[in-house]
Amino acid sequence: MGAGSLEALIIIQLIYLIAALGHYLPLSMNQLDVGIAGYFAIGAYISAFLTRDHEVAFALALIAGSVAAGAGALIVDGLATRVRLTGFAYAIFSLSFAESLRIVLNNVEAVGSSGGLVGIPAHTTLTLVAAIAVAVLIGFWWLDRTRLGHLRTAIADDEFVVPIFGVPLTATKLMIFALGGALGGLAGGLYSHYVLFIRPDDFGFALLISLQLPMVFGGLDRFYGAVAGLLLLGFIPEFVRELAQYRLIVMAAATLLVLILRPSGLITHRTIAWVKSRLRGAQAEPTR
Amino acid sequence: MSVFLQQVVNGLVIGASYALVAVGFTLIFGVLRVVYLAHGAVLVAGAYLGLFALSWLGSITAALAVGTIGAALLGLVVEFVALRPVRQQNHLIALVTTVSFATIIQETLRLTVQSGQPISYPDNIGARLLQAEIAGIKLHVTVGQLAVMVVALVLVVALTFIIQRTWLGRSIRAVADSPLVASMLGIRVNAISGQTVALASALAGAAGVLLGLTIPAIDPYVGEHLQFKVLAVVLFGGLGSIPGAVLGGVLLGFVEAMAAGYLATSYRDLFAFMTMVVILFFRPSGLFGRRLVERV
Repeated sequence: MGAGSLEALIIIQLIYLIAALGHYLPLSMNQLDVGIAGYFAIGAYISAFLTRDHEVAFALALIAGSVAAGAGALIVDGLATRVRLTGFAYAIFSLSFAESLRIVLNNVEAVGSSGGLVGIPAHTTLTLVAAIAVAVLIGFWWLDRTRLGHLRTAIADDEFVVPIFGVPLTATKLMIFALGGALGGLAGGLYSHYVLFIRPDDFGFALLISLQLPMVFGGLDRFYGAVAGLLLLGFIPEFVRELAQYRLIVMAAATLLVLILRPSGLITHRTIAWVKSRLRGAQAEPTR
Repeated sequence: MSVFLQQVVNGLVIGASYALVAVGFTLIFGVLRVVYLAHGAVLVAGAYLGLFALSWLGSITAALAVGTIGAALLGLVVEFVALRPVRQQNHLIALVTTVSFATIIQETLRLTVQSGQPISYPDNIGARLLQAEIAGIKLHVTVGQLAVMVVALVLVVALTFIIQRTWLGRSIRAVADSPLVASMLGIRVNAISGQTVALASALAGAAGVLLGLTIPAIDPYVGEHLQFKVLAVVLFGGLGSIPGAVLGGVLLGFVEAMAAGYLATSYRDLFAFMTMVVILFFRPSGLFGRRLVERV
């Protein structure tokens, strides 16, 4: 594997990591918003449209795409929350929005319809992506220690108890939804300014699957589980050349196996506690 | 007038195959209440099995039998591997396990049969033309189209009979109502879940073979695309409602056949997704179904 393709691999995987963390936010509240491919597409298209056709500065376009994607998430989740969709219905509802967006983009002449958007200026560099990814990771670490982070866990555990403590439930949920959508949009903007050519069909069901499977593989209990899953399933198959052909099937089989044996995923906060106690020399071993 | 009648026939054929997939899909949703996304892949597996049977044995009946039985067995495996171990988990987990299983099926087909290139049924056997004349109007119907209508009708009637009149059907309905109460009455919920998925998969397998007879070529991904449209049909008809699924399927077939002439074809798929959004927003229980969203 050459140096150039290694750099490409790292950039793409880091972009996926940012998107996946955006996708993780609603899931961590036990709200099945699976519209990440749509938010990613909004960010990718809006930022690319701005830099290519209107010569807007890259940073500004990136922010615009991200805000638009956040607004998109607010609309989708706002509607879903309004009619109190749960579980199954929520998943189908958000997925339908993402797929509808893809079909509409396939027909809008201004963004190249199904032929795609070509000639996007190259702005995304490894340094930039790495810096943003690290910042986002630190942000997640910090979020787990804030009031908003604790509320998120509370909503995941039992959202009907939360308002009893005087917390504005809908507003809290929507804030986290918008954050997730915005992260997806940010990743989309970075993506379009790296690959320089995007088509609506890049943002279909397959994108959702390639983000979703590794996350659940790693574990949704804490964000580092999702991160670990992405790193494991995103990088390792790329390094073993013989595996390239079987990348998808390996990913699917690994995910299926882990979920059957350990439905909570590979790494949970208990795993970390267990490892810590082992490192400390562990007199009293906590139950896993 | 003859153009219109021809479109009616085409709509009926597309609608019949949608309905066949939709009744199985709605059965799984109604009974197991999980986000099951392996139905399209099982359908494709049935289509490939039918293709092999047709090449070796040369008869459409044999192809249908092999596709149907093979898909039913595959359905049993899917339930055992991807649904049963994660029954207690939230909806996301079942979504991921079934999608993983579907990916394994699709990738296996892609890697083993002509590297996933589209592949046609031998001699285009389904495309042979039959002509019918009704009141002086000539209609073109292919062998495949005729097979779709006949087989779909027979299978849907058979399924309705099983659900309404047999012991298996009564058990399935009991589990759909309440797995807990059903288990207290001595019904083995696990076994019924497996048999439900197998029954639904059998219909999907038959639909796959019929699809192979009506479209020019199949590839490992035709099912995934179909699956989302059928999901719209199922939501429209109401989860677990067989009449709703049949009506919804035929209706979607008609709308698509009619829209083919007036709308850009690329917008055709939008219809299915927007239907889902509108139904979920305004009437989550569908036209015939029970309430899908549990309100607290």
